[in-house]
Amino acid sequence: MAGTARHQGAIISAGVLLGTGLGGFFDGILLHQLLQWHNMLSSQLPPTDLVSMKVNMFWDGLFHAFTWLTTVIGLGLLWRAGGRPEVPWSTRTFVGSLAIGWGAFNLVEGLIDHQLLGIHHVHPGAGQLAWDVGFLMFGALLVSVGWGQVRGEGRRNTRGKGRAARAEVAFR
Amino acid sequence: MQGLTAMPTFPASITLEGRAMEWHWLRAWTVLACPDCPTSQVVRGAVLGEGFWGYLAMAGVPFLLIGALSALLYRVGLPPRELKP
Repeated sequence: MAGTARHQGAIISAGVLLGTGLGGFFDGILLHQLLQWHNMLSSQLPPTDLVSMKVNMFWDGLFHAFTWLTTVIGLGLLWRAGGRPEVPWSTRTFVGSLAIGWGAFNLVEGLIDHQLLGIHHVHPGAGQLAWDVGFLMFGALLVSVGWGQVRGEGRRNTRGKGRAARAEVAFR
Repeated sequence: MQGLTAMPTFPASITLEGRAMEWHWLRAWTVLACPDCPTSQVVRGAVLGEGFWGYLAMAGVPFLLIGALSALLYRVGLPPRELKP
C-alpha cells in the first residue's frame, strides 16, 4: 500500500486552507494593523473618528476569526493526512499547496472585496487601482507557482511517507 | 505612578464625544476599552444594526469559496467516482 500512495489531495486540501490562513493573517496583521493602510470597511466607513475606527476594528476582528477557523481546519486535515499510508508526504506538494492557498486568498479577496464590492482597497488614494491589481497579480503568481510545484511532484513521487506509512513498513 | 504621569498624551485631534482627550495614556486606554460606555453603545448599535448580515456575508464568502476549492482539490489522486446507473 505504501508503494502506491496516490492520494495527494489530502495534503493539497490541508495546505490550501493553511496557505489561506497565512495570507489572511499577513493581510490582517501587516496591512490592517501595522501599516494601517486599510480596514475591512474603510472605503465605506472611513476610520476618521473613534466610533468608525471601532466599527472597522470589529469587522477586522471577524475577518481574523474566519482566518483562524480556516487555519484550524487546515491543521486538522494535515494531522489526519499524516496518519494515512496512501498519502504521499511531500514537502513540495505541501509548500505548493500553501502557495495556492495564499494566492487563492488574494484572488478571491481582491476580486470580491476590492473590485466587486469596493468595501476597501489595498492602499486607498491616487494609485489604489495599481495596488489592487498588484495584489491580484501576486495572488495569480502564487497560484501558478504553487500549482506547478504540486503537478511536478504528483508526476514524480507516489510513495507514502507519513507516520502511518512508516509504521506499516516497520511491521513488515 | 511617577512614570505614568510622565507618559505622553494623545494628540488633541483624537476626540471622544467631542471632547479632546488630553489625559495620560493609562486613563485614555481605560476610556477606549470601556465595555458599556456611550461610545461602546453607539459602536454596538452601528455594528449590529442595519447591514449586519450583508457585511457578515461579505466577510465570510471568500473563506467559503476557498473552503469549496479545498474540498474540490481533496479529490486529487482519488479514483473517479463511479456513476450509479
